[in-house]
Amino acid sequence: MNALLHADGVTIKFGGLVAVNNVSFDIRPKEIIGLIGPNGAGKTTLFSMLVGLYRPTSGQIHFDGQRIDGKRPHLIARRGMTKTFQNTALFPEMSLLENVTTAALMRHKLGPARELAEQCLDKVGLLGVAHEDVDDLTFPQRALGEVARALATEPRILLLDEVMAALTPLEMDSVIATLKALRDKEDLTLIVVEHHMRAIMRLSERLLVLNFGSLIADGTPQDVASNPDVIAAYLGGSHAQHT
Amino acid sequence: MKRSLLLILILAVAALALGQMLDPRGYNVRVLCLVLLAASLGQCWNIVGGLANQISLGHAAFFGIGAYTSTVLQTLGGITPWIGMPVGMLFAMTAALLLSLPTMRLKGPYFALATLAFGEACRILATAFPGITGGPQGISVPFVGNSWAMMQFRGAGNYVYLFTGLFVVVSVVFACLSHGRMGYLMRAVRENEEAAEVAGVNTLKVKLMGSLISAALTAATGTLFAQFTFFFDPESVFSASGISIRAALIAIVGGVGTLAGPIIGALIVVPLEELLSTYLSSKAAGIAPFTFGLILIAIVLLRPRGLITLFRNRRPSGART
Amino acid sequence: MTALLQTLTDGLLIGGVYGVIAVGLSLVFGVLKIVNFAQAEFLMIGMYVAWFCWSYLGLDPIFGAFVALAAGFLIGAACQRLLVQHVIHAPPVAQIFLTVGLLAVLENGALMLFGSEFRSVQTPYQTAALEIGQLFISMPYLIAFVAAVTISLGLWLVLAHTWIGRAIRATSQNAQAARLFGIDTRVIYAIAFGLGTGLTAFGGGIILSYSAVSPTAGTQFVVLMFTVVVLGGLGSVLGALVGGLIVGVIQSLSTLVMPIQLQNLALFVVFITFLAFRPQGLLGKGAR
Repeated sequence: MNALLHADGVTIKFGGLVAVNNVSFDIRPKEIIGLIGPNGAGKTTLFSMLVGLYRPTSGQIHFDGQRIDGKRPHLIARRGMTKTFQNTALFPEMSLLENVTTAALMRHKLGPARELAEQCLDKVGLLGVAHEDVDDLTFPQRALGEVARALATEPRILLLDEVMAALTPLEMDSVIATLKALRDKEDLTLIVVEHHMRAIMRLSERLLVLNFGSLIADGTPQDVASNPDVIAAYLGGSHAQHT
Repeated sequence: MKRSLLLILILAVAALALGQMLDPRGYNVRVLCLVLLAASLGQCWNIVGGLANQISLGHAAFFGIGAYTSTVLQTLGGITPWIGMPVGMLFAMTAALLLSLPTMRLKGPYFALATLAFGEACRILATAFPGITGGPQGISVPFVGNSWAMMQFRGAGNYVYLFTGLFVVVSVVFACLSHGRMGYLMRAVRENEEAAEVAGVNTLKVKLMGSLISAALTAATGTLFAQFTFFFDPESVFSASGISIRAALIAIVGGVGTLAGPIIGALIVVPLEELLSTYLSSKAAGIAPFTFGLILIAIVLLRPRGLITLFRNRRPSGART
Repeated sequence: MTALLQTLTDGLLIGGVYGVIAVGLSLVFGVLKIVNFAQAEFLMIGMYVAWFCWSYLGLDPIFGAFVALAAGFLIGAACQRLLVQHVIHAPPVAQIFLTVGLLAVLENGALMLFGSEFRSVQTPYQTAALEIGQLFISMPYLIAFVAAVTISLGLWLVLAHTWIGRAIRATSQNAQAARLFGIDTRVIYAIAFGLGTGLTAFGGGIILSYSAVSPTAGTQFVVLMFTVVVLGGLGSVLGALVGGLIVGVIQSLSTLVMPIQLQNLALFVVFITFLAFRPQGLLGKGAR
């Protein structure tokens, strides 16, 4: 199979709550996948499982042909998959550059790591504020800073969790262009969680839709937009929950 | 890094100079030695508590292991503490490794609890084998007079070299860990473990390294303590309040996570202790730890959120180089 | 076989008391979400209060224990209101060192006030024992156990059937919701803390008939208390009581296979094991 990322029946339960329910999908190299769904649908939880922060209760995750479910996050990062955090999780008492350098240290010594960090910041347009303390950055800057930090691990799959949350439409367009360029030039595969429909529709080639932890649609933006289950999920139709 | 090494050099020279100027058998030299010892202990704790934010309340375990190992090897086999010390350090590292297996994933108070219990367990072990350790009565370092080979001297004067050396070693290690590659990794682990993991940092390995290094150096401090005081018992070297908490206190008072913090802390804590016991000798028992308990409470109350920023506010010296 | 039964019985009797000593810790954690490192010092305070009641008033330690309960409650509530309240929302580091500082203050305060010598009581039943077949049930143990059971029932009644008890349970489940219902959580925190320390102090009083008191009496129980509570589940009152029984039995049984000084070592192994593999204990709610 030429899927870079293969999820098979991935399920996770917290006590009695099933947060992600029997989710299966394949992701091919250089795809840009949008992951959407109402709040609480399990998107961030799914991301957490993909990078190793949680171990699925059942099911398997394969990355580049090798099983990774349950492995520790730094090992998965080493293999080439990492994520950004929804409300940003930059290291508070470091500067932006130091944050990104830390991630670059995974594969490089200190000198080259710092250079790589500067390059990553440049790619997202933050080189100018590299030496600022994280506390002094705006929220959009922090979100992009996380992207830069994630890029510094030189990933093959990048999971982006609402990095465009606080952007103006113009800024959003710019980020979308940046992400597409990254995908084109860096052999990157992206899975993006966003709530802005316009952004996600423009960015994604394919959409995965989660509702109550289950995958209810998997297709092109056009197909998904006209899918009755998806419409019901967002508009709360009298549709029964899928199991 | 260069600034840190310079600072260490200055402190070392100051200590040695002071040692030369003071009467080698006098009281003040003794205080100087105690300050250096306390600063070293605090610096050892600083490595895990300050750099990695692992609040340990069980450092007494490693301290006692160091003290007992080198002393028992002397009493049973006549082996010089210069060999006994590295053996003690090895034992302490093993103990730290064993302890970290079940506790590495514990957070905050639970980790602290586990370390506290571990210190207690070591104390129990020491009292339970009187044949080897002398039991609750304690154990004495065999007195041979002035001898560099056996690491002991009559007057406190020569100990200044020893303790200054210890402090320099521990501080240099601290500086190495807070700069460069290790510095980045430790700070990341301290500030957000989850994010660090996802960013490729092997957080368990980083924490373990800090723990092993700290344990080994604490054991070395224990050995030197034994050689200085000649007599000790399980109550004193495995004491939670006398060693473990005191180590944390010294680092915190002076500025946690900073290179100079422990020496500042020691310069405050040790003379205060001596003062309290000299002037209040009738009620001496307990007045010092009582006061320090109050100081600890005061520090926490004055800056409860600030205790963390006290932890983080001063970046490990020169971390930006 | 009789030896086994004897140790088992002794273990259960002592364990019941351990449960009461430790239940306060669980209560404090359950309601305030704080690990109180100074909890064991209230045991020592309770012992001294009961001792002074015996020494100056001729009160049997069991009755003195009730005085200790009141004293422990008042001192604890005061500590909470004046000190602990300020770190309720602070990082764990601050909470750890505040209660650790309190530990040092209380222990050494006692040392300065009372000196380091051991004090004990003499009661008429101190050496008496009940004989059931081959079993010797020591009177002090039995009486302490009965007192422990009584106060546990009292606690259960308070928590289950009084308004205060319900307020405490509500606050421990969801402090914000409790506030919305008009419960002044700051008062509840002080009461719950005081109740916890009071119970531990009561435990000190009832063990006085077979344990001597000194300023370090508390620290000897620290690991034990935490083992009980981690075993039973931090935050679970029933868990603490059950954990106490189990710990008492483990401690007692371990004397059959190892020298008495090492009996707490067995506890330590249990403690670490549970912390590592089942931090929520047998009955508790989230412990991480």
